[in-house]
Amino acid sequence: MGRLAALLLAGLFLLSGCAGERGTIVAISREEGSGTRGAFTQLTGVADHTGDRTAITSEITNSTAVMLATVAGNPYAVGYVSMGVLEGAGVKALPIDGAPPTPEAVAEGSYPLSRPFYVAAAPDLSPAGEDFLRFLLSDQGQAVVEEAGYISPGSSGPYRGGASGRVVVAGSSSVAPVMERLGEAYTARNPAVSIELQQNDSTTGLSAAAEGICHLAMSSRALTEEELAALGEPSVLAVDGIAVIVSPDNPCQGLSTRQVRGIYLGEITRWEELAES
Amino acid sequence: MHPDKELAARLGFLLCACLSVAALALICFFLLSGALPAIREIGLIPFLTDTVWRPSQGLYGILPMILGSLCVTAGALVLGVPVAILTAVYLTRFCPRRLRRPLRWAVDLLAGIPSIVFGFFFLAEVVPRLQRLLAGGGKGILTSSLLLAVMILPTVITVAASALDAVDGSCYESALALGATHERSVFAAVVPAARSGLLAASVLGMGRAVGETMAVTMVAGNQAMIPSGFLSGVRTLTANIVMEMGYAAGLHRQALIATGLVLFCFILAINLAVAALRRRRRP
Repeated sequence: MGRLAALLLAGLFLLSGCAGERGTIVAISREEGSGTRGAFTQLTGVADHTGDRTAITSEITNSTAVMLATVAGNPYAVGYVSMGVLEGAGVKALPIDGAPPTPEAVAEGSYPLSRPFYVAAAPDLSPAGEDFLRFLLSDQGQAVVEEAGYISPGSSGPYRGGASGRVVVAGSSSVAPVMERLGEAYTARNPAVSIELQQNDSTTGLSAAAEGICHLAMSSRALTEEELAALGEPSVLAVDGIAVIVSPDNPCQGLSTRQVRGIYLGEITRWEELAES
Repeated sequence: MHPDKELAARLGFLLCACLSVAALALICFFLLSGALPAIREIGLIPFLTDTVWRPSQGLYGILPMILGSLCVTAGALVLGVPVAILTAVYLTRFCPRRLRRPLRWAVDLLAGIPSIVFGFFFLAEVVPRLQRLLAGGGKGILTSSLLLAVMILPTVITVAASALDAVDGSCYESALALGATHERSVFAAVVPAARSGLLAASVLGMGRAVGETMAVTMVAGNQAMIPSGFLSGVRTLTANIVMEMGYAAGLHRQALIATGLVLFCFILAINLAVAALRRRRRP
């Protein structure tokens, strides 16, 4: 009888989304300039009109790579990262509100955490830069985007090559992987152009473009009013999902947007609390 | 020798020396000109003593970071200096001749490892193990102190070893002559004689620990709050600058330069202390 009751309780626990893990939740966030952080906090409601309310006890990692390494090594940790970098990263992506963390779910709109990748051009863009930008938005460029596992927002027609020079692209570490592949595909067609990729974060890239230090800026969040005034409307390069990640040793099976918000506001502090809510 | 060539050579060397001084002067000028407007706007006392750092809301208090830097440096000294000094004693007084060169070589190699390699090694191997051992304390003061202790070992060992070597042979021999054993002679006569050199070594190690940036940023947790305990996450002054400088603008950027100025003052104080100690050494 007792064994049956225990089995029933265990069953109930397993049915509720995130059961079995005990201990303090270690919320890992990104630095303030990160576009992924900006998009994530907006989408989950952690940031509202008063600003970003991420709990001060959240650990801060300053790039996508350190975020992945930190979460992979800590069974109590939860973090967030661009869906495009999950391949072989050693972390587990959680379903949110029942939707799986896949590009298909993002494309059909069932996965709630997705944001566009933007490319903004510096004022007085060089011909080589303009040509690269044209490639990014063309059929061939968007084919590379889809191959890399992102969603294409549509393309502007076929690309015809013929340019030379140097193009410096700087910005988000989330956009960098797909931009690297695009750069390789472009230089295969245009050996006379060299693409230089600088990885930091969205805000750094956008301010570099505004100051003329780089030609193109990659951003994983929407531009602020000042940035729009300085750079004009950016182009949408791809649509990417933000995956909520845990260590593969973490038994959690999924979270709701409300739970994610609670974790990052510091309201939910232990894994056991998630089993009840 | 030809007098013109002599003059040319002298001018050439003077130019090189001036370059170093010029670099230092430029850095000082940059720090002061960038930091003073921020300090004037925020106020020196609020800047140094406020406990909230939230640039997006206009709050610029660096006290949590000052305490963070002090805590991890203190931890590094507590963990690293005893090991380093005892290693130096071993290297100079107890080590068999055959082992001396390989050990010295190992210490020099440790000094040559890039700090970011240390950081990544700690992030990938030490942090998860500490996590399991301490149920959640993987990133924080303890890990950062451990990391910095390992990083300052070569500096402290090298300077301490040269301080011990510089002790006059008569110190050791007179102790032996009075009937002391080898160990007693070393620890009761030689080590106290090298006291100020050992102190200078520790202070140099402290300077290295305060200035370490990338490695500490990977294992410290970087929460901008007053450390709450031994295992608490912490943000150092250096981590604060490196994480936010790329995108900071306006007052935020000037506040970060002011943080750099605070760091510069720390290092200046440390170097003045070493100079004072070195002067005291000559009787």
